[in-house]
Amino acid sequence: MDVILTAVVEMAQPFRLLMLMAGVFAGLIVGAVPGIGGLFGMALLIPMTYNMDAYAAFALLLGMGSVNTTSDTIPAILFGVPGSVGAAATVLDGHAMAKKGEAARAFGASYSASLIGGVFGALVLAAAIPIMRPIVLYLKTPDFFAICAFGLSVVALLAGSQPLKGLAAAMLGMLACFVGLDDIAGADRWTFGQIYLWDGLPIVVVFLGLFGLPELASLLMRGSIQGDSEIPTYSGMRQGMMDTLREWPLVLRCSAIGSLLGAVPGVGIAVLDWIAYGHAARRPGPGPKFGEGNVRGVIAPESANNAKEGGSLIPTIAFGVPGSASMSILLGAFVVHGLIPGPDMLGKNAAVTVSMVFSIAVANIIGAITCLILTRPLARIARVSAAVLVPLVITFIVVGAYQTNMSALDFVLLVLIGAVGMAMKELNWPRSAFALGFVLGPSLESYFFLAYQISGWAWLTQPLVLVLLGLSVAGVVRQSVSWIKARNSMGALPPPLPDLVASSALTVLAVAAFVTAAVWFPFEAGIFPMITSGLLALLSLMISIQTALRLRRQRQGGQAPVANAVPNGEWAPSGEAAMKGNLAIIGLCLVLAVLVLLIGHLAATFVFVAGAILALGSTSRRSPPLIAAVTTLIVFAVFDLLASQPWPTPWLMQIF
Amino acid sequence: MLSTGLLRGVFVAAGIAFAMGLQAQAAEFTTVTIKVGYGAGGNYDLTSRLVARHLGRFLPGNPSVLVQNVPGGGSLKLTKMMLGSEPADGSVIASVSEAMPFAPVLDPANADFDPLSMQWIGSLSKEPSICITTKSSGIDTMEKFLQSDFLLGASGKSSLTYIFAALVKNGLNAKFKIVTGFDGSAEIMVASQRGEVAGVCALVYYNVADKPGEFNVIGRFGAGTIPAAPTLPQFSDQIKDPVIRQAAVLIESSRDFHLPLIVPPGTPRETLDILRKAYVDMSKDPEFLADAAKLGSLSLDITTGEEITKLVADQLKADPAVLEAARNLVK
Repeated sequence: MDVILTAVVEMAQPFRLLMLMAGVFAGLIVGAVPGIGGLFGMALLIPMTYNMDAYAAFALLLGMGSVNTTSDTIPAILFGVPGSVGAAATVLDGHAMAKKGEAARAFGASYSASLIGGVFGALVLAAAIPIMRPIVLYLKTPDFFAICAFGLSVVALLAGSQPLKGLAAAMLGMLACFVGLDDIAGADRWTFGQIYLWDGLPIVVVFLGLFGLPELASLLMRGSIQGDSEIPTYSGMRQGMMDTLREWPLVLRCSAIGSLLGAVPGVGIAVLDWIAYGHAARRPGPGPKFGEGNVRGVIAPESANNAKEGGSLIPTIAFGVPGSASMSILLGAFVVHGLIPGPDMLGKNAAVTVSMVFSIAVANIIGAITCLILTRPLARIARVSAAVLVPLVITFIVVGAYQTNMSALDFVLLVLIGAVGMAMKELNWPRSAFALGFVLGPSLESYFFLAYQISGWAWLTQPLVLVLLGLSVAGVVRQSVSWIKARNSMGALPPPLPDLVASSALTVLAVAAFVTAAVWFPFEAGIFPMITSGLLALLSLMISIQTALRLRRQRQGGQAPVANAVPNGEWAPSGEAAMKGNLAIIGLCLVLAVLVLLIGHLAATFVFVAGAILALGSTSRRSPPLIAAVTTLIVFAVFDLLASQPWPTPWLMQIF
Repeated sequence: MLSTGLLRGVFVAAGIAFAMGLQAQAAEFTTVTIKVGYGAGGNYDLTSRLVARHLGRFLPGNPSVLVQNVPGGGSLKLTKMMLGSEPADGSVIASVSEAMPFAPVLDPANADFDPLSMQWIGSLSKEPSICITTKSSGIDTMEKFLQSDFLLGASGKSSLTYIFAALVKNGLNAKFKIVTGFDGSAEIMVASQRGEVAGVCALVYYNVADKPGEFNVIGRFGAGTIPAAPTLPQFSDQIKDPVIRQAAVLIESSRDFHLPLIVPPGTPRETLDILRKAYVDMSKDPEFLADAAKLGSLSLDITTGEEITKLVADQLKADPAVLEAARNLVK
């Protein structure tokens, strides 16, 4: 009790509270801007904390780290662009709600879920303090593997109306994550001589391409985020908050998922928000299907990803083992302030530990309230013309992608993944399954090999491993049964010809991947890619055959595709117009990319935004150069002042 | 109508000029960037940020010094970038692994560069590196360490946790097995506390200084001594075969210039000299020393760029048989 009192008194000092607020506002900005996430923000703020005392330093850092998962929903809901990797799952239903004119409701639901989740995570941390060490020591490497395998089984729930495609998409995602130098044998896998690929495909670029660009294409076609012109009101926001309160069991379950999985090293927010989403998808409840704007699909990932901050501090404080990437940076701050993770954090430094709990809880409350206040102006964006919005959002996606490696290959990868995402969106290959495979693949592989090296196959008989693997199998079996039952009900299906082309191409890719993995890679580096590509080849071959039969039936019988059926779930094709919109988006990205390389990111932003708004035929009353100038200043403020970093010299400047 | 168009034109032109101006200012301002071959938060990152906070004061023009993380392949990616594409005008400095000059010997397939072309500014520490085991493993002497059957944890095969463990295993025919694939030494420490592995190599004494009841310190790599454990045996001393021992000394000699900084090969001599002098001046500055002391894990003991250059050249002059033996040691 004394410790809690001491911590509260220490935290009540004005400077420390000020630092907490500063952290929260920095965190909200970092979260809302795509491309830079909490990890980056943490690295930026660390040097500023060197001259502070420990309380102020952790207030600043945890304030920042706690709330970027609150504000990253803003671009996710409005544009379908995840503000950080933790908001990818929120895109599916959150953006669908915005399209239906429910942006304010989605915001209300997500912020209140974030708030409850964040405070819950802080409480879990507080409750775990006395028993942290035994808990962290109880879970062993095989358990981590089983947790990841269980996470992967959630794919079955994300697989959508054509389950084979869902499974294939997950395998494709896993295959993509194996690109790069592998840790076990040190072999380079599919890097094609590019140093750029050594560290694998950068997750920020992958998610921006996969989710962001395809949504922009349909936004461009639709004209504005929300079709009708109804003015969003606070009532929608209140409704969203009521949704969260009504769904309190779901909120608590997902907060528990977030905080507990947050404590497992290797399971980051990118993973746990999908697991929470999949968990909610099991019981969709009333309202639209998942992927079509079900509010539960917003509440679940949002409560989970805010709860993770508290959870991932558990192993950090107890052992100095970072529970997430940003925690490894926080660990640096421990050292600077002379704090040694371990028993001391419960003994002589217990007040600092309690102050961390306090910081996380308060930061989440301030962050959510700030976002709620901003809801009304933000929801109005839903009515702004796409001719203005699309250039702005592309700017942040392209500049955000570029700053991950500052390499022209960032652009190439962004556009390639964007094209894959667009095809997946049109042809009903769930991108969520791809994302889950991509984020879980590395942990699955490394935990498997660690477990195998440590105890051969004996670990398979450990009780927790048995329970988790059993649950995974049961979940997949149950889902398969429901697919088999539902297989004859005719839902809408994408046009067979492009679908056949895509699935055949994927089959070829998978076979090529299998052969190269078998021939080039040493056994340890090759076995996971071989299993994955083998399964992918099998699945995509089955899909090809299925689609070919469908094409033949259609040609022979002259049978028109099911006319009345509506695409469901995550599948949201734009139909005929899609190709035009997609090409326009890719074209715009390429133009901006070239401009950035030629004249630097600031001048490029100005020229691009002004030019693109005019080219897209905006009828806005505000002058395009004015919008462009403001955007340039924002880009300068975020990417040069806030995140001060060395940009490469533009090509034109090199000439002079 | 005309005037609106003109006005708009002027506005656009002014906007572009302004934006280019911002960029130009950023480029012209003499900024130094320290690129770090590892992710944020690790030892290389923290010490680079330490240097970044002070080095600017000792350089002419007092430039601001920025830090950028370029992780990949245990800093091999950044090393190759420095030897290939980075500007050689002193505007880019890199913090890479001290094992890099020996990478072309140990891993010629991936490290296809000339190690003698690396230009050294200096390094921060010479502290030896150690192998530790948990008390509960019962392995508490050099003899038991070499004779018993147990598991040592390591990160990837190019990491020092693997290289030093392999050096002991192959050089002294030790019986332990090396488990690779951990995320870093902190994770290995916890795995050892869980009882999954018995210990780990390539730590510094600071990592276990506060936990004498939990870990045994078995031996060291590198010529320096540890004040707290002056009698700790050196692994390479135990090797009988002179060629293999020389190979082991070559590998561990990188400990003599732990946490080094380099510049690209084409850097002008004067620029390099200015950087080296600033580095040495910085290392004597009380403000810098006070800041470095806050890091705790760092035992400051600098090696100058000239010394590193000589050391690396001497080691690489070794007989081909020694280089061959070194390759075999870390397989």
